[in-house]
Amino acid sequence: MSEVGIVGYGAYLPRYRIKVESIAAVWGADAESYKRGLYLFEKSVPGLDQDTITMAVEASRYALKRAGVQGKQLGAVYVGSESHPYAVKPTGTVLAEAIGATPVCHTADFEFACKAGTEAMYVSYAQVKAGLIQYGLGVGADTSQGAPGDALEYSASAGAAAFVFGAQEIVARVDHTYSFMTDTPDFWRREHQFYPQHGGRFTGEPAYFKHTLGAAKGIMALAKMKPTDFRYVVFHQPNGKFPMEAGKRLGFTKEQYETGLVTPWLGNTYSGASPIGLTAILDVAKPGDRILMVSFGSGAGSDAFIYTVTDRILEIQNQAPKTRPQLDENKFYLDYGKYAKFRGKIIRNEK
Amino acid sequence: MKIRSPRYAREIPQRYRCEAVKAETGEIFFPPRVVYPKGVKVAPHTLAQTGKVLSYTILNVAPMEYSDLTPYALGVIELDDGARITAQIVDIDTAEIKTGMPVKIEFRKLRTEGDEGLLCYGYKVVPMR
Repeated sequence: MSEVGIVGYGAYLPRYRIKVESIAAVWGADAESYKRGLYLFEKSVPGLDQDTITMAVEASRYALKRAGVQGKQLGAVYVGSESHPYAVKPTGTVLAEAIGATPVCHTADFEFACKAGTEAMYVSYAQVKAGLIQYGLGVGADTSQGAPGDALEYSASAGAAAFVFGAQEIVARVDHTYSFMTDTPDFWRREHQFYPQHGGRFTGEPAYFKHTLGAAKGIMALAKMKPTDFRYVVFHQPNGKFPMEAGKRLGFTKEQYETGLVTPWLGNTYSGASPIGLTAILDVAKPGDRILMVSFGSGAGSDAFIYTVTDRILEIQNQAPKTRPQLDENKFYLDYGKYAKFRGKIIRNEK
Repeated sequence: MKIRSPRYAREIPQRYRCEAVKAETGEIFFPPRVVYPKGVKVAPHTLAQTGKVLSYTILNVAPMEYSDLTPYALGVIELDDGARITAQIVDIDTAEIKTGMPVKIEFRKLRTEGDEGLLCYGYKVVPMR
């Protein structure tokens, strides 16, 4: 079987941010307890003219640029999100059209809470591995919503990451994949409801930790590897605390998980979360580095990947904007009023 | 609600991918024309994705569909290949915009046709940083 892996990657983060203090002040909550308890300081907010589609397009353009691949060479374009802008009309067609992949291209939108992004990656990878297509694009993008005053409002944020998979000029070879899932009702949104419901503490042990640890242990057993075999690890990161706890329980060190941990300053980008963390790792990875990635989506399940970085990584890292500078530089802070306007939380009559 | 799908679909190659044509003389036509002056031969050309602000204006009172965005800037942008486009300049405080400022094209939502209609996408420009 031929080797298949990531040949290009890109992340796009909007410039707007809101601090935990600005949200807590409106709801009479204790900002310090959120910062300490969830290890969360601020989150990204999409602009009024940004959504899952626009961020997916920008991240994909960066990924194609790094890959040196034209849109028309893509045999598949898959995008995972829980905030597809239309209820009926694909995100993938707009994305594919914008990057010039149409009309000979297979496109689908995925949904699985925060895991939809790694599903898009997995299916792109599998299509290339099967020899059905030469290149496939897998994107995770979200502009997630938290109900006003709910704990989720402190974390639900926006961002996108895109990966081109192929069999030539690989920068991160996929060595193993593994999926672990059960029917677990930890988080959901019924049709026509504005905001999701969640099971509070039930989202922790029986949901996030059971599946994240299950997938991580499963893929390491499959690969006959242990935590010390990896240079980096990235987990789904609904807040800053959960992925650090998952890393510690599995025996990973801070040096292994801190590079891919972006949520404390980005928030939970849902389908983009572990994929954006992976782009932050690839930005600084060196040839030979081994990376473990484990996503998590409520409902619930995890996809795990083991990658080995190749020599080519050094040639493409600087070909498009990196993730950390997008996170740390040129930020616009919003007050809660403007944030509420941006996120459509102010009720108005239709114009 | 007036259905504008046909017009929106027609403009996709330009709005999404900046598809233009270039004449042998070097002149760029954007959008491409239906017919060209006699003897002018053109070939497909994709507009440069970076350029600079030639001129701009700030809108404080905007048409209904754009009223949530005020104040916003609309600029004439000269791209690096010489083509000039009209585009919104976003992701910047309008007071900081200057002529000559380097910008790049980004994909954004241009317009929303009310609560029921289409979401319309296309290019805007953002400052190069």
